[in-house]
Amino acid sequence: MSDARNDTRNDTRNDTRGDAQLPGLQIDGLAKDYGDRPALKPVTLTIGAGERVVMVGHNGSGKTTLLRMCAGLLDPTAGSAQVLGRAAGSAPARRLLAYLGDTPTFYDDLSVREHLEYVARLHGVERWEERGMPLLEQLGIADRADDLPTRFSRGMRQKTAIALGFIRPFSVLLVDEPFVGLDEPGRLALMSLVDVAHRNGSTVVIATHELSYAATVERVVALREGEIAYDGDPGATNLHALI
Amino acid sequence: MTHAVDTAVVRALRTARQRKRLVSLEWFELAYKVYVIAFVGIVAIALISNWVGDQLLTESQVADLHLYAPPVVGAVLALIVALGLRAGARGGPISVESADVQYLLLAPVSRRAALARPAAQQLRRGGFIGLAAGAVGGQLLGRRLDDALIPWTTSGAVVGAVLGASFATVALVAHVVRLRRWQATMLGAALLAWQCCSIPADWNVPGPLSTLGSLVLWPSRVHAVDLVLPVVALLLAGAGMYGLEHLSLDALARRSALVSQLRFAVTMRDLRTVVLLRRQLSNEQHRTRPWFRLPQRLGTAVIRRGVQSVARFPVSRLVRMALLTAIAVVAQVAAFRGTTPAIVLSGLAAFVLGLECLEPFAQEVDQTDRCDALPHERGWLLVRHLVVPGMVAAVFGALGAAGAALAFGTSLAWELSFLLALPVVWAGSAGAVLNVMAGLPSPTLPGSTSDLLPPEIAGSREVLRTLWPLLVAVSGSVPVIAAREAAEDNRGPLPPALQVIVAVALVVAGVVWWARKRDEIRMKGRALWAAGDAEFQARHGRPGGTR
Repeated sequence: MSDARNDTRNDTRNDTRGDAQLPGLQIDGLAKDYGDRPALKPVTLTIGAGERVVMVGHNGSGKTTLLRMCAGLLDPTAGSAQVLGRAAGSAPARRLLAYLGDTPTFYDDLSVREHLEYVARLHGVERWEERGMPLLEQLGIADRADDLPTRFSRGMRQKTAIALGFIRPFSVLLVDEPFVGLDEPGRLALMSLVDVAHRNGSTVVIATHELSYAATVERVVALREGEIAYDGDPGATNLHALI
Repeated sequence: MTHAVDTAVVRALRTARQRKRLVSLEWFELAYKVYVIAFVGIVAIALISNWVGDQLLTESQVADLHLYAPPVVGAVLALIVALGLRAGARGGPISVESADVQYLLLAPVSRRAALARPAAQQLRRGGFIGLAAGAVGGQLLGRRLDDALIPWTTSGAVVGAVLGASFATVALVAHVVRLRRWQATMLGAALLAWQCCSIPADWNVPGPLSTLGSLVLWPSRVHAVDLVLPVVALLLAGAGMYGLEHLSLDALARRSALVSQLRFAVTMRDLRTVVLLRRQLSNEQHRTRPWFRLPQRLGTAVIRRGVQSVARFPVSRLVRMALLTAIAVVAQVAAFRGTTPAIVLSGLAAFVLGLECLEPFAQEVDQTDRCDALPHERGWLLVRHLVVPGMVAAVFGALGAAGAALAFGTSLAWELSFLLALPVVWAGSAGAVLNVMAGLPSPTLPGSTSDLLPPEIAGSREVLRTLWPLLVAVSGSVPVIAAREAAEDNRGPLPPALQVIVAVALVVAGVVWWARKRDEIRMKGRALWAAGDAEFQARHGRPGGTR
């Protein structure tokens, strides 16, 4: 992947670099209730700029809820989150943060290429083809660029969603269950994209059940029953016991 | 990114998509829709014009018009405002595509620019429908007053436009200020109650929204203060549009997935799904902790399942069921006092109450595969699932009857209320059973035969399928008419009502029998059809006509 951040540094309308002095994600007492059931108890967490964190936890532990609140897609019941010092969900935060959800959604009437163009232009990327086509090739869907992604299989939809996540510049990347439905080349491509983004200084948070991937990063945050059960070096704990 | 760039990108996408849609438009289908709408519209106008009449109003009627039009129109506005507040507190009125939430609203574009168009569409649509209806109403009123038509048409149009646009306006503002649901309910109920108190002339309560109704009467007299509400409505609409930046993405995301399904369910006349989706839209969930738990080993599996479902009804749902019961009671009282059409309202309220009560039954119908995997005949199972909903409906019926009896306090009121309550709620539930079962596929024969029927038969079948449940539901409200007529003839109202109740009981029993035997009857019908087809093929050497 080409450097998402470098690509847009020449574009004066965009500032996706944020302030490196500020944490990538600052979460203060963030909580969410669904009716009478707490999905996430007040969570406080700081993820430094440029850090790569894997979030693990069993189904229903609150990973998706936490990520969606950081992306501004869910209203918290209490607490707040900041993306490089900007309030989560605000326009400056949206410029800095890319969120790859666990359920890809697409427009019924746009092809993959049209999706790429639209998302890129919404983020101020004018020369989107230069980045878009290599991205599709890396993910193995370049030959389907003119097809409608709503008619794709689960894995192909996931690959399209990944392309849409990486076509735009970002400084913080949140990815929820990224490996679901992906074949081996797709998994490798995604890991490569994430690695490049991380090396280029982006903060990366990945929620996954893939413990093999969690073991490769520097920091793991485990959620259990909506609370942080572990936060630290994956090598210093038994990952299987965390989920 | 500048605002101009946002707007340009969003506009470019929308234009491109519009062009695509135009290219793929089925013109023949569109022409057919226009034909159907025009046909229905002409029939409706013919019926309504016959119903309205055009006799001149008497002096006393004109006096009543001046006395009651302002508070009654104000009450309509109060109702619209209350509904708008509720819709806004639930995240309405705007609904966008899921992909728009994911890509457009998560992009660093101005949400005001992104949402201005759907918001303006909502306001414009409501305002235009209100304007057209108001203009027609004003014109009819002008005719009956034998006065110049243009002023009455204009005043009607202005009032109609304000009424029509109010729902979206209020909902938008309520959403922008993030009004909580309980606040919206309290505010709406207080406003409605206050405005309703202004309707009885001898109460001398000034209604907060009566000035809008007073605007209707401008052709006969002018009060400058009447312009306040339209101006306030305009200001609120502007404030709502300005505040689009502050809409909750959470609510928009939830609505985006559900509203299109809801529209589809409405077009399919699938009322059960409409109710289900409306619950999801308002984020209404079953209680995690049930109100009560059944002791172990008490009841059969089906009964236990039904009770466990009811024990998880949330408060909002119970309140809604109580409100529906209250509406049915009020409509029954109105029917007893001479307003015969009120039985339709009573029947519809009982029907929706039935849909609420039928949750365990409907869940079984929704999960057909699960149901068919059980070692029981489906009809047998479904009929047993009706026991608990029937009991719940009876409880609400009894509560409604007790409320009505307490309000009137006479022994006749007690007897009549309890006599009429059960047929109303059980017939409502029977109608709901038919509606819920309409979507149930045959257990052994894949697909429905409806698409194989000739269009004329399929059309009639669809009409019957839509109306039949409602007719059954309304049938339960008919006994009150028999009671009223007997009372008007100075006879005891109970025996005639009881005679009609027996007929209603037979209808309800018929529905239960249908639930039990539906699959069996359908399979026999299909077998007969297949036999006839085979005979036709044997005689003519080719498959039979439309089959």
